[in-house]
Amino acid sequence: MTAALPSRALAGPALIPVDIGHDVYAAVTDPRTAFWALVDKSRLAESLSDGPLLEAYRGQAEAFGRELHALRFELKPSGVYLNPTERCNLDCTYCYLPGSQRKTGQHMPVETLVASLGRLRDYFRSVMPEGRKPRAIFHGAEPLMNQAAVFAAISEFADDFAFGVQTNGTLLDDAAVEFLTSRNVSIGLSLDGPVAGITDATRRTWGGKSVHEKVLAAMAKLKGYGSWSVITTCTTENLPYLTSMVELFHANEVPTCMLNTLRCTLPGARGVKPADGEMAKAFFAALDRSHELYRETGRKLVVANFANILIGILAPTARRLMCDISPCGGGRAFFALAADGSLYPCSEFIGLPRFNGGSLLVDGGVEAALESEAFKTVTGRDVDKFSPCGDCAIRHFCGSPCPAEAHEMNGGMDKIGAFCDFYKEQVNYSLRLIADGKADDYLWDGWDEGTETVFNLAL
Amino acid sequence: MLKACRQPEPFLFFYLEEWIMTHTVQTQAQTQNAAPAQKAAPTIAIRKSCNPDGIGLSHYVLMDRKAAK
Repeated sequence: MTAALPSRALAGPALIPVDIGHDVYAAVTDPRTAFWALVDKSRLAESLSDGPLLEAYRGQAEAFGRELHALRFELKPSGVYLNPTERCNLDCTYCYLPGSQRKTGQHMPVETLVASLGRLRDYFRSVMPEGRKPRAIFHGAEPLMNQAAVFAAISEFADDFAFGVQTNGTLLDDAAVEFLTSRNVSIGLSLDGPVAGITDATRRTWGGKSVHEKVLAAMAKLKGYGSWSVITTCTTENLPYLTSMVELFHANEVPTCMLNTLRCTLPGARGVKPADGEMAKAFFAALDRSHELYRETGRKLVVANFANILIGILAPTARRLMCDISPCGGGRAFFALAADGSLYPCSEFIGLPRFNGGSLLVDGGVEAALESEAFKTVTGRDVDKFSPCGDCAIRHFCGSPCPAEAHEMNGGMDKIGAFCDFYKEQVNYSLRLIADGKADDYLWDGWDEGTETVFNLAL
Repeated sequence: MLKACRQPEPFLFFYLEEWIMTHTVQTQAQTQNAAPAQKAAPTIAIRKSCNPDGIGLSHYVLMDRKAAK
């Protein structure tokens, strides 16, 4: 494994070398604009000095800087994560929501949810261009614990939002699948192991029962549907099985999966946190396997959290996930509505009262929340302004996620997240794929439709 | 590297000159036998741009950009 070699940025447009662990290529970056190039590492000195590369980049540096600034600081919200209940029927080891809420918490009444979506629709209409729908994602705890309210809301606002549901899959019966798929609702499931014994290590009911087979049954119901995905949360318990997870997902025709590092926001998660190096080794083995399966079958299983790092390098503004950018998307590209009607920058903060930005219906609504100290604390987290990120050559490919775990685990918003070295390795891996001409194999077909190539240098 | 003088001081230049001559000849021979310098691998630098509309987070992703259109 090789680590990025950060150096302090210079005053003018200048390039910083990064060892990506490739036989032929090294990267050079200007982290201030997220510019990068891959150069013959035996000619690195020439690439860093005045020459055609630097000359071409100088012509674009200002535009790239403006683009990155707009992405980081000028977005308006276009999505909301709706928590229609505090309750969950599972007690997962690493959950970022407090156990007391999940066990005995409240449902949001259907009237409140409908009124909230009405208010949110009006807000989004005021800030989004005509013709674009905001996204509304029902999220956990387990949203289908309050299925009646969720389905009533989807029915009433079908024309106003693009809906999604992130569910543990245990309550996804035939009727629920029919309701959601007939309305083109995007569905996300969660599964942590290729066999019950591994899944059960971190995801069980409150009574300790396995849910593995129920999730497999839900996956079978969704086979052939166009808009679904499965999340595996990577822990010390399932790390040796990530390759098997990829094989399971591919065999079940899962179009998109995420192999996420667990979030270490609450202490319970930290007990099953993998070390960065172990995480990278298992993760890249799983990615390699996904690529083998693609080559063997012609069918891709996109590992979305990695694809997002790759896209963030190739086309910074085309990234789908807004965790890997600084400031993150929480409180600016999207926000979360808790079951008690309060607004938070992201669902990750719902267990942390100091990040409550006020009530949607009772207080000043979205506008007031966006200006609240609770939100500003998150949206003000800027990797340019704290160490060691401020000196890192790849800081705008990574964004140092996540502010919630930086704050709770590492002691402040000016601290790194929980998996700094793992992110560096993902960037190195991405750049190696680009060097080898394989990047498109790891992205969904047509990923760059609607994008414009603004720099393409071949020297 | 030069080794310690084998002869008294007056002969130093002779031996030094001999060493230089010997190594110059060797270097010329090595240069003549060496493969031609390898061509540098081409530089790769690509950037694409679009209107940003991502709202995904680590607990949820909708990768289809067209879904909300």
